[in-house]
Amino acid sequence: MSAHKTIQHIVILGGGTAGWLSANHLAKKLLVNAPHGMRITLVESPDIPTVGVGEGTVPAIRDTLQYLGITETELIQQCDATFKQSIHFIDWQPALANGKRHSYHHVFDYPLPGYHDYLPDWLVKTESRENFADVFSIQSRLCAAGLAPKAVTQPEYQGLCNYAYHFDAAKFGKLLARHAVEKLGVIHRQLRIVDVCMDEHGHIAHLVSDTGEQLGADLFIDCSGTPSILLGKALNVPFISKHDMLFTDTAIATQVPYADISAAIPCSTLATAQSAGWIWDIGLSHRRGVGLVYSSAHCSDDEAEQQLYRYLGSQAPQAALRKIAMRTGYHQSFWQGNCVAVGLAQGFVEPLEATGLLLFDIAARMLAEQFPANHAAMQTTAKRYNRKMRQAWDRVFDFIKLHYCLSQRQDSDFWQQHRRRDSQSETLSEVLDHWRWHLPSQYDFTDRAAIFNLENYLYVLYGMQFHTDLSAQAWRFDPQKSAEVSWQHMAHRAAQAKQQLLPHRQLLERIQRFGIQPI
Amino acid sequence: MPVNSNLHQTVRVLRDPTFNQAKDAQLVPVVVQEVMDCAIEYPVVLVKNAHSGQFVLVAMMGLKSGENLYCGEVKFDGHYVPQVLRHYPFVLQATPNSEHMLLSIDEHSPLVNQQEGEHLFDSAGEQSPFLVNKAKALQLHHEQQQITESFVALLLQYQLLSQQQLTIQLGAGQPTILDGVYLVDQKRLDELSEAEYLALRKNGALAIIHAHLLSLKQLNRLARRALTL
Ligand SMILES: Cc1cc2nc3c(=O)[nH]c(=O)nc-3n(C[C@H](O)[C@H](O)[C@H](O)COP(=O)(O)OP(=O)(O)OC[C@H]3O[C@@H](n4cnc5c(N)ncnc54)[C@H](O)[C@@H]3O)c2cc1C
Repeated sequence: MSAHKTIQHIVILGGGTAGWLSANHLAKKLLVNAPHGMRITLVESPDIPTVGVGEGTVPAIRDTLQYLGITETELIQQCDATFKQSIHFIDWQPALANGKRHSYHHVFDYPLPGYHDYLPDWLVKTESRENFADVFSIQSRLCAAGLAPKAVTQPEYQGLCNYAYHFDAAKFGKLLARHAVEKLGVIHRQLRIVDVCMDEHGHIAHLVSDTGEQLGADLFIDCSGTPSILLGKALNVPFISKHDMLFTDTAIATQVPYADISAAIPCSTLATAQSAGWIWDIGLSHRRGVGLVYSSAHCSDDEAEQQLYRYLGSQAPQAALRKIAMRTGYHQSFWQGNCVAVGLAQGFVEPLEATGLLLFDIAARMLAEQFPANHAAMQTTAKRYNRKMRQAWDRVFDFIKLHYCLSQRQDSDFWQQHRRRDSQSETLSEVLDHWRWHLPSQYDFTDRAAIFNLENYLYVLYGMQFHTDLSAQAWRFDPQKSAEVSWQHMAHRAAQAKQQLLPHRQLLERIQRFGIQPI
Repeated sequence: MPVNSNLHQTVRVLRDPTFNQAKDAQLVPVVVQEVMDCAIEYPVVLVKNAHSGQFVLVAMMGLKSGENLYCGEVKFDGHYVPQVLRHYPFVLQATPNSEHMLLSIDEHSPLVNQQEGEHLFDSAGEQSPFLVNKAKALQLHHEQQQITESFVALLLQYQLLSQQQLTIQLGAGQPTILDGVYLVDQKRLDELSEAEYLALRKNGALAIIHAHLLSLKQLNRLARRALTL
C-alpha cells in the first residue's frame, strides 16, 4: 500500500445508532454525493439486533441534526420524540429533615448572566436556602409546571430554554439510516461478517461475510457494539475497565404504556436512586421507557426486578424485562492502524447523563472533520484522535462519579464505597478538595475536550448540597447581591415565560399536526 | 354548525356593508389571488398563526393588535374587501376522517336571524340561489387557500422569508414597532440563481412577491389613517 495513496473507500461495520451517526457525519463532510467524493458502505447483520436502548440526549444533538439536514419536524413526527429540559434527580441524598424526598434538577439552561455575584450569598445562607436551580435559572420552574421549552411560533431547533430530546432509539436509528442512504448517498449492505483478514502491516485488508463476499476498504469504522469485532477482536486492542470507579454493570429495561393517553409528559428524564443503582424513566409521546441500572455485586437480579416493579407500582409494563450486561470502560486506543471504533465498540459509561450518543457524535464528527489526507497521515491523526477522545471519556467518567460520591446515602455498601477516595480519579478528588473552600470557576475547566463544564458541575454540586465554605472570605462579597434578589428575578422571568409556553403534550400534538417552521 | 335544510329552513342572513365582525381584526387572512387587489391599499405580509405556528398571508388593516382602521360605523372604508370578510358568517369546515369539507354557518352571528335578509332554503327545502353561490365561492376560496399554502412553502424552500421589525412613525411621538412580521428578503431574491428565478416567474410567484414588496409602502397610508381617525 502506498503511503500517499488517498483514502477513497470507508466501510462501517454496524447499523446501530453509532454506525448510522458515523455514516451521516462522514458522508456529509466527505461529500459522498460529489463526483470525487468518498465512497461509504455500511454493513450490518440483519439478524444481530442493535442494543435498542438509548432514549435520552443532551442539547448538542440539536446542532448535529441541524447540521446533518434533518428537520426537527421529522424527528418529532417520526421518532415519537419529546422535549427534555433537565434530568430530575430524585433520592440521591437521604430524605430531608422535614421528611420530604430529596430532589434536584440538572437543567440545560445556563444560569443567569452574572450569577457568580449572587452565588456567595446563596452558599452562606445554608439554613434558609432555596433550591440552587430555582435561584439561578427559570427552567426548573418550567419543568415543574409541565411546560414545553419552546413556543409554537418559534422556528425549528430554537426555544425559550435550552433543550434536548427523548426519542424511540429504534425509530431514531431508522431516521438516521434513511437520511444517510437517501440524502447523503451511503451504500447500505445487509451481511453478517464472519471473518476479518489482515494485511502484512497488521492493517485490516477486508471483511468476509457469511456468503463469502469480501469487503475491502481504506478505512474501517467499527460500530459493531459491545463485541467490538474489529478493534477489540481482530486488532486485539485491550479494554480498560472503569468498574472500580463506577460499579453498575447490569441494566433491566422495559416499556410502559400511559395509563391515560392524555396524561402529562414530564419534560425531564427522571433518575431515581435505588439501593445499588438508579432507575431511568423517560416519557416518549406514546409510551415510557423505564429501566434500572445496578451493580450485580451489590444487588441480586431478583432484588433488582422487585425494585423496578415497586417503582412502576400498578403500571404493568407492555414489554418483558430485558436484561443488558454493561461493561464500563474504554479501549486503550480507539483508532489503531486503519480502524476507528465508534459507539459501544469504543467504550461505555452508564447512561446517567445520557452521554452515550453524545460521545459517539463527538467521535464521529471529530473523525469526519480531521479526516486524514492520505495513508501516511493516518498515524499522527490517530494519535491525536486517541488522546482527545480519551480525555473526553475521562472527564465524562469524573462527572458521572461526581453524582455518586457526593451522596450521603447510608443504606448500602454501594453508596458507602462510592465515597471512598480510592474509587475516585486524582483529578476529581483534587478539584473537590479545592471547591470545599473556593467557588468553582472557569479556571477549573481548561480542558477543551470536556463535555461537561462549569455550569453542569454547579447544578450537580449544589443540587447535591455540596458545601463550599466561604465564611472566611465573606468580606469580599457584595451584600446587595443576595440570593433572594436572584430568586425574585427568576420567579418573575419564569412567570413571563409561562405566558408563552404550552403544556408539553399539547405542543407535541400541535407539532404532530402542523410541523414546525424552519424560520 | 353545518348548514342543513331541516335546521336552517327558516334561517335568513343579512348583508352587512360595514363588515363589523372585523372591527377588532388588525390582520385579515388573504389568498394569493387577492394580493394584487390588496396591495394597492393594505400592506400584505406573513405572520405566524398563534395556534399552529404556521405562516398565514394577511392584509394589515391596523397598526396594533385589536385595531382595524377600515371598519367604520356606516361602511367599510376600503376599495377591496378580502374574501374571508365577505363570506362571513359562512365557512368550510373539515370533517373528521374525511377529505370532504362541509359548508357551515356561525349561528351566533348577529347577521343570522329569522326576519330579514337572504333565505338559505326555499319553502320546498331546496337550497336558495344565494346559498348555492356561497357554497361555490367558498369551495373556490378553499382551493385558493391551498395554492396560497404552496406559495408559502415555495418562499420557505427558496429561503426568501425573513422576520423583520416594522417601524412606523406616527406624528412626532415614539415610533410604533411591529414585531413578528415576515417579509420577502429583497437581498435573497437578488441572490437567486437564474433557474430558481425562472421557476418563480413561471409559476406566477414572482408577480405576487413584487406586489407584496410594493404593498409595504402602504404602511405610510395606514399611519396617516391612524393619525386622522
Ligand atoms: C442500559 C442502557 C441505557 C442507555 N441509555 C442511553 C441514553 O439514555 N442515551 C444515550 O445516548 N445512550 C444510551 N445508551 C447507549 C446507547 O444505547 C448506545 O450507545 C447506542 O445504542 C449505540 O450503540 P451501537 O450502535 O454502538 O451498538 P449496537 O446498537 O449494539 O449496534 C451494533 C450493530 O452492529 C451490527 N453487528 C454486530 N456484529 C455484526 C456482525 N458480525 N456482522 C455484521 N453486523 C454486525 C449489529 O447488527 C448492529 O447493527 C444506553 C445503553 C445502555 C446499555
